[in-house]
Amino acid sequence: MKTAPRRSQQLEPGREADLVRAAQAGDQAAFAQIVCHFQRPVHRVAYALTRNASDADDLAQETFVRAYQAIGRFRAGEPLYPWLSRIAVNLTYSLFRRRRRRPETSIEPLVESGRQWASDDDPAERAAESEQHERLAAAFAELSHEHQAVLTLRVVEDLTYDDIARTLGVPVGTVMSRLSRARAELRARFRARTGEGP
Amino acid sequence: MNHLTDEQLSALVDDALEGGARAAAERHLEACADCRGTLAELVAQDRALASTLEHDPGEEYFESFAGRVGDRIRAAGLAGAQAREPGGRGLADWFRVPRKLALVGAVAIVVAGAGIVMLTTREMRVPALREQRIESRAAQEAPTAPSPPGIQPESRSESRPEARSAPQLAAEPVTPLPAAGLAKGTARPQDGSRAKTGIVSREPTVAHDREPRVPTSRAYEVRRNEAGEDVPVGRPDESAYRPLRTMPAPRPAVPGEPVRVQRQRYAEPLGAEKGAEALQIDVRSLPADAGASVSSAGQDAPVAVAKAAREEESKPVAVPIAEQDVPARKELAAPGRVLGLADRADRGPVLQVRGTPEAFDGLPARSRTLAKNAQRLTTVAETIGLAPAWDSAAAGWERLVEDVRGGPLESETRFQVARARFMAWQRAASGKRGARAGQALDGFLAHAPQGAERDSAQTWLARLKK
Repeated sequence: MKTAPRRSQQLEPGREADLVRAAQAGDQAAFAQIVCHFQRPVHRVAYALTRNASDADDLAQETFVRAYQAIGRFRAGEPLYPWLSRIAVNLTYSLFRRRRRRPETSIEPLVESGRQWASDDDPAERAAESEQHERLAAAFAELSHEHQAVLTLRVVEDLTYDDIARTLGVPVGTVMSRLSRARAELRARFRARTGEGP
Repeated sequence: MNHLTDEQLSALVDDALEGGARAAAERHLEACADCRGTLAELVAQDRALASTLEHDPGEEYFESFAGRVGDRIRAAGLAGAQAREPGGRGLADWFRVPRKLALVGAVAIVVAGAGIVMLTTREMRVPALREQRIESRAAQEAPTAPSPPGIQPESRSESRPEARSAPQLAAEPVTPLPAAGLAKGTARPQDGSRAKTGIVSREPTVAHDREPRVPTSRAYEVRRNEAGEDVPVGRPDESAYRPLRTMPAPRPAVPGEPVRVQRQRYAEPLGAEKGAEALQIDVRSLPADAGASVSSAGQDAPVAVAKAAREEESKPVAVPIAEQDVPARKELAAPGRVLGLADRADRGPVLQVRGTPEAFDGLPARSRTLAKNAQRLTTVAETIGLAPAWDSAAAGWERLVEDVRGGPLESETRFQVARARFMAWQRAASGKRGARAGQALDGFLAHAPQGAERDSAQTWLARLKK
């Protein structure tokens, strides 16, 4: 299946592999360049899955710390971003598991809408749209972690099915079926909240 | 008419259908308004979701991001995978990987269980020993009063060894123990002695003329030396059976003179609130210049040298516990700590933290809620003092940072984050906590004004680096 990403997380051809090899050889500047290039997409994934700025910050940093530890085992030439996003997703799952065992706060779930508003927006329109986003975020938060992850990687990160499969460690067919179920479930949950589609 | 499946619609959204499947789906869409509507909804849903889930923390955030990652890596002391030998995995790996850690835990449980079973089994063998060797050995050392004729020896208490006769004992075998089983002892048999071992049991109350060595009610193995004396085999844990020494009564305290207190004891925190670590009181020798009023009640009212918790290097202050001197307590509380453990005995301690809720009143409702929640978590952490509680408190304050960025409360909030992170690290140090604490302290110190908070943060950072 071909799916064209709208965003580009990859470096120039060959450049990514060079950086990886240099980082594997102990070049910290090369690893810093990797961090600088991938910090935004990794942070996007972390934020989309947690909807919390603090958690996203922590997870994004921890993702690169884990990558630094494990980059010696990464095969240079493979796309780096699916590997990084896989670390981020797994860390997020771990965080969710810890939270389930040991809830930290009564504000749960903490949904922060990341929607940025221009100052000249119409207040009434802005309020209505904000309400729609909050409902959609709440419906999204009700999905299983697997469905949240696959939607995030496809809708927010615009990864191809192949890259999503690499990231989640599942076959492409599973990605397709999981994505279709996630979309259908999100639509149903959103409709249940509003009585209409977004 | 069969409508398009969810999977077909999803693939159409992603433009992932090809060839005949795509052509068939498009033909169906031309004829089916329902599927067209559903497809349009899914496309709109994707767009809305992308917008909802995105969050841009700003350029400033990403400018310093790589540096923060580097700090975290350095603080954790990570060498990176490139420094590892291929295939060379240290013992520490077993404790990093959750599955391996679980395996280690399972093995530890099995070993511990086996140990318990072995110990239990050993204890249960004691009655059997009493019937055989204990009786024989006990009788061997007893006065040689022969049993009345016609009476067979029975199982008796070893406190009545006179019931067994010496000729009977001579016929009983004794079990030799390997020499390796011998341990250092005060009555170690001489080399070359044809020593034999047996099991003897004595009650602690039984006074024995020749061997008062190990007063115990447990059976223990003995070896007979050349002199015909039973000496314990192995090293009896004398400390386990040693009678408790009575502690000498402390001398009455005299004003102006140092007070000597036995070792380290823990007094009740002021206000009699157990577990409040803010006032961890440590009874030690009283400095002569501590300025405390010494109670004449002696040991019932010991003079405590109270010191603040470890992170606050405040000067020790002598506090007479019985009087619960409130001014002294306030002196103990450093900036940012619990102030005044209680003046209201009826309602328990009064916990006040810095950054009163009123300070955040000017913020939007969501931020006020976050602030209130963070303060509540901080209060909990200060009360129970556990590292996870401080982690939670720090996370609570961190959620507020974005909301107060650039405002007058940013420094205050960052200080709370730094303090909570440092406290968590101090309670249970780990590489991750150290990295977070360092990062939080750096974040606070970058824009912190001069003052007590800045001084505290610098002290903490120095301690963290040390």
